[in-house]
Amino acid sequence: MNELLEFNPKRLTLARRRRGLTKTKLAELVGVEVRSITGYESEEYKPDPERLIQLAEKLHFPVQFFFGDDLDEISPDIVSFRSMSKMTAGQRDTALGAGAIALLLHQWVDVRFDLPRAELPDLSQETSPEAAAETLRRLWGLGELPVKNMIHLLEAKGIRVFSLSIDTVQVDAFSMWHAETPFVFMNTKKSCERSRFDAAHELGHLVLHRHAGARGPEVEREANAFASALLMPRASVLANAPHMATVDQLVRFKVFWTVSVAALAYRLRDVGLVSDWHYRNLCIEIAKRGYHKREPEEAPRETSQVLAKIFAALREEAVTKLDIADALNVHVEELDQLVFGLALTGLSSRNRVAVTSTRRPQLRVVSSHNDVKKG
Amino acid sequence: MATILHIEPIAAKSALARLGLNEEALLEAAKHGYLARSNCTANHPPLYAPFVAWGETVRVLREQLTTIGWKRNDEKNYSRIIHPDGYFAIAVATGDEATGMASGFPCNKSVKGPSTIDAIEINRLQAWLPGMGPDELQNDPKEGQPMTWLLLVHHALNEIRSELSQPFDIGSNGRINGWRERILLRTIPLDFDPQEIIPPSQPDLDVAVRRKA
Repeated sequence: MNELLEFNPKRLTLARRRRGLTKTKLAELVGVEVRSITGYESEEYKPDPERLIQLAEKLHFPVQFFFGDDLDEISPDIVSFRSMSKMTAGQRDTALGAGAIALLLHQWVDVRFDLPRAELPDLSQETSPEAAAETLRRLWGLGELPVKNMIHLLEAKGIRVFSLSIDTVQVDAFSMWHAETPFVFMNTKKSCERSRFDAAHELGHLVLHRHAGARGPEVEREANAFASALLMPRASVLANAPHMATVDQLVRFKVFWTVSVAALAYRLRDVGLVSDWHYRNLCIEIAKRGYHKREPEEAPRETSQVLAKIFAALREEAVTKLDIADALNVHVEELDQLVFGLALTGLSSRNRVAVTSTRRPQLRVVSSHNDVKKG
Repeated sequence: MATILHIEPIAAKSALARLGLNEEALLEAAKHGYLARSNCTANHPPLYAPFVAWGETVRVLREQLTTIGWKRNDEKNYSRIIHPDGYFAIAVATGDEATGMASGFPCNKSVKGPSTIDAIEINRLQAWLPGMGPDELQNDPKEGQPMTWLLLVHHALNEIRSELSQPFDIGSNGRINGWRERILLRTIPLDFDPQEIIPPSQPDLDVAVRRKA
């Protein structure tokens, strides 16, 4: 059986994009001409086994990854990025690549677990993002209470939450629909308060812009307004806000809604509790104190209940992360990144150690695999 | 001379309207002084906080009133803003704890210098009807100069109290001891409460996750 016949060029493209590499850059890394990469990806010709191993190593994917079926591709059209304009193509591709791997994991999980089904109304016809947030609160029975845990709320309503382990402030979060399942990817390297706002912002996209297709600053503003109103309902703010909003008071009061100092200041102006003048003064002081970069009195991070429960169940069955990674033909790091900051325990640290120690031998087995090497 | 006191919000409002002012502009200025003070840390020099509070109050008052024709004036480093007609001016001063209280007699907190004394002298002079003042005051070069009102602001622990008042006498100790008219402004509540803010307690959401058979 000739395994080279099964090489899937689309998977090479995905792997390259996942690493945020251009064809030129990948060609440089591997030491080939760009047209070779173009050729591999367009199915003009196939990489020979040694080249494939090189590609796999440079792209940090197991060789087997390039031999599967087509993966569900995620195109930028169906995704809302928070700050598209600030992102480079590489950053966007990296994020979308993470999305594609998440779909793999999601499908693996879906076969084995019953998770809440999506329960998201279409609120695109509401008169304003604020009205949409109020409607959603009513539908979900949240009253005027603060959202205790934003990730749990999304998960309970059937949204799959994954981490976007990307070291860039340009990508805050993104969301997408795949078939009937909504997904939210969050940059979990931000403060808890920022992440909660990002999650609420993405929820806004999911309920407001599912069929809109339109993107741009206006849509982002709507998602922000939605997030602000969802996390800080008007009546609750009017009842519980400080009388005299100094930055120190904002730091003290923000714990009520678990929002950032900056988000609370914005909301106070929004509901008319502080004047534009006053708001500007607060913004200047917030910037001066560096609170945009480092949230004061940061709340403990929210984590995923779904992932925790799945991992706990798998642990009992002695299924390790390595097993899942093997099944998906990806390295364990790939899974780690999808759950980074969302799952505290993961699949026990013992497994982690085992996984790291078996990773290299596994690669060696692959690289000396006769079927692959000799065709 | 008895002090004319405007206590009720309606009385204050019409007294301010007479001067072409509204309460919001004055309170906005007072608020900003408080904000500026609240942004000071223990590492700022202690004298900086009241100074910056005063400075910001002056700035915000002027920024608002210049848009409706008032003119900034810093003659002899006495910072005021003068009504478009030139009849009166406003200076800002930090008041003591009696500020904004109908029953009290407020006083400026820091000792006032020659400019304030001059301004109060003008206030006294202008009080006389034309031709009826003491002879020595007639044809004084100060005639025709604006009367000065003070926006007195006091930051108490739990509120900001302020008033717009016209002084007419100042003691040799540099403290005002006579007011012709006092317009008490609405107090701005502060959030003095050492108690920790605690969000309402709620149960955790349970996300149903079941292993398929």
